[in-house]
Amino acid sequence: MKNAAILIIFILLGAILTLWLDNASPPEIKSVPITAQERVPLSHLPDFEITDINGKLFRTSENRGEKLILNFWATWCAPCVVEFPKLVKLAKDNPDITILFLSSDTNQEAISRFLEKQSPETKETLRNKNIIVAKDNKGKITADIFQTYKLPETLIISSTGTLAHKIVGDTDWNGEEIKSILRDLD
Amino acid sequence: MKHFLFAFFLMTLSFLYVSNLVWAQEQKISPLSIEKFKALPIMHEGRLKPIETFAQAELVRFSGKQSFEHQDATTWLAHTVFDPATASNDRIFKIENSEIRHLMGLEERKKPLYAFTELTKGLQKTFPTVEQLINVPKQNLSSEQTALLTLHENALEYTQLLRSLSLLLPLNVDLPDQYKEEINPETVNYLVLKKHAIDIEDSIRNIIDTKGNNPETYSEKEQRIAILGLQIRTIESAAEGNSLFRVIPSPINDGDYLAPWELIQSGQATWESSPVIKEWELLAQSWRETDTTTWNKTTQSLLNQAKIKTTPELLYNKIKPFQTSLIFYAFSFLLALASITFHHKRSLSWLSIFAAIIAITLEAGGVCTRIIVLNRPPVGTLYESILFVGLVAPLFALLMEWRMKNLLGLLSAGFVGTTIGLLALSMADEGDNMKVLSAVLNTQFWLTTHVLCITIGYGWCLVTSVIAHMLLLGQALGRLTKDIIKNLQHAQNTLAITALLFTATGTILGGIWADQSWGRFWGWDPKENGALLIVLWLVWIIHSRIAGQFTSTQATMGYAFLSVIVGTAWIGVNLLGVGLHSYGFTEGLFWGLGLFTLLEAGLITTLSLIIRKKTLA
Repeated sequence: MKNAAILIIFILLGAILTLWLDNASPPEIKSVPITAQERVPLSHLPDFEITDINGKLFRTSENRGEKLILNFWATWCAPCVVEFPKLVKLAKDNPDITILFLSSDTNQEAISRFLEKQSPETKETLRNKNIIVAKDNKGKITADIFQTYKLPETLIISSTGTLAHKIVGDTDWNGEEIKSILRDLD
Repeated sequence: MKHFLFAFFLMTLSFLYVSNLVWAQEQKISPLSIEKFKALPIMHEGRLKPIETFAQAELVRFSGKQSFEHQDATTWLAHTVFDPATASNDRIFKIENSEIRHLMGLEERKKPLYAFTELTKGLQKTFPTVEQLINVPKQNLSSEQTALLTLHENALEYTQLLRSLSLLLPLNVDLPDQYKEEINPETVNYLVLKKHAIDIEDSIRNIIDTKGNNPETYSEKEQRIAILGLQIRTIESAAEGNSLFRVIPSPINDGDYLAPWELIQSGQATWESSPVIKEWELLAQSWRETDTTTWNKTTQSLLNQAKIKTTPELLYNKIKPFQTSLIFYAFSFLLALASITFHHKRSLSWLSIFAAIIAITLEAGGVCTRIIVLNRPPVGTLYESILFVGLVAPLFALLMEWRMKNLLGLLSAGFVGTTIGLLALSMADEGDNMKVLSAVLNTQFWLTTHVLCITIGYGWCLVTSVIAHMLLLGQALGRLTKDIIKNLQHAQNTLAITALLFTATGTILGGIWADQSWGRFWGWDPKENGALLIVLWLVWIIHSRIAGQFTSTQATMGYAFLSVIVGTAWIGVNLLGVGLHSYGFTEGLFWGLGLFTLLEAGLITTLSLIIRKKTLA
């Protein structure tokens, strides 16, 4: 009888201990992202430089402390073409964010022709300082540094230089989800 | 003193044996050290594991063995992923079914092992049959059809493995002249070509616009461009959905790992994954060129970036605690038997005790490693319950020996350890048996309370049954004194009450879990009925004995038959394949369990009849 009582006490103590341990660690909740994906920032955006279509040099090292949206696109990529004006409008609405349009076109003239075809409002906004349009030379940045092989892809980078979100494919750049992401961006 | 010296001798031998397993030098097939490479983490079947475990699981899947032509599984894997062109000639596909060998047009060999290159024609030939078989319910397939399906599945898995790093490996392509300045033909790979893919596609579009779709009208230069474009497309489409070799940490989702192709094709690469991809490219290059310095430096660098330490699992793979403990349990049993035969010779007894202690320590180490690696309580599958019972049952038997001091507890420990060890060996899945649990089971609290309580109960039941068998056997052979009989009867009664306590508590806890998970306490599910069966059996025997309805021998018979009751509840009900405990369903043990039941019934009846005859005489 004494032995049985000791065993019951042991089982109960074990149950209480496990219940306490189970409750002590919060349950792991994994969200299922739709367009944007949450991540834990690790390293900082590497240094690179590029000359835009107007001949102006852009260096990431000189723009530390600024929020950056890096859009990989091309004039022959249908979803890229669709989202281009939306991203330009986003730049207009958020002057504190720099948007770098990095084209994979092999021909700079194709980029110029594409920009010419844009609406007057878009063309006007393209003159803003926070918009940079550049052609990547043989994938030196797009492929070698960012390993982007499918277009469009967009990186939202915080002012500390860490990756906040990566968006694969086109998205609703003027939608609530993006607004919320940009509001929370450091 | 000399008994201890004997025991010390055994301990030293055992230590040397285990040390030899752990620290033995790897077999040098490749001049490159595989030690760090095998420790690199890979995401496979829902968990991060060392590449060694993955390699062993894959090789066992194809060939049924954990090594290939004196190479360990990791060396075979490295050869497969880094040098697929030559690896595809490795004879690793074991095809035991002669009908399938004939159907595939394969030559007969002493060992039915074939290379992937030998299978390709047969795979193409049988593909239409396989397409039809895919839609046929599994139970309606013949053994040949099942073997054919399995072969095709294995071949598909193997091609994924062969192509897992094809984006990084050098390609044998004929580069058009305009790219020769920018691209080194010696080192060109898919990623390099992909940077020029737009340009190549533009050129092909221009050729088609001017000369149409017929390649025969193209110039030699134009044909080379068209072929290059086609090669890029072919490599891409062949790698579509290749997510087997998940060795790159995802820069997007923390804790996740991706296969190189998956990373590129899903667009999850960032500047963080770029150096890792580069390092895998270096690794492949250094493997092919046998560049020891780069190989060592790169494997060390990748190991430093690993998000988990795989050392415990590597040690587990090396020691193989459950297989090793089986040897020690068998030793312990034989030594205890020898000690009883030679009138309780103390040196043999001590050796048996130490062998049992070493076996239990190894099993405990194995169970603890599994807890650390899987980060959950030790019992979540049927196989794990066998491992756990294989640990606790001999431990309980040793405790009985400590109380009884007649070597029968020790004998029971060795016997129960050996038999459960053999059962575990037969039940072990091929390859990796550390499984991630289904969602319904993934709760720390209930796995610790209900499952452990029930499995500990199984352990007590089995020790009770073994002691009861010894009592019956000893009485039938007339080898037990009255004191020992009394001692054993007292022991089996105590064991039965303890077994009842654990199984009853475990069953009630299971009901509470079922209430929380499925919304009802009891649903007459086969697994629930099995647990209840043990409780009712024990209650029946214990009460009948106390009430005087059963004689001591009848009670002992009932306790002995507990092994069959536990076997039915533990494994038998899983064979039904119905109920909510679907995660525990098993196949193929029906005849084994049936034979065991018949043998037990025959043995117990025969022994009791002999005892009855002796008593009457």
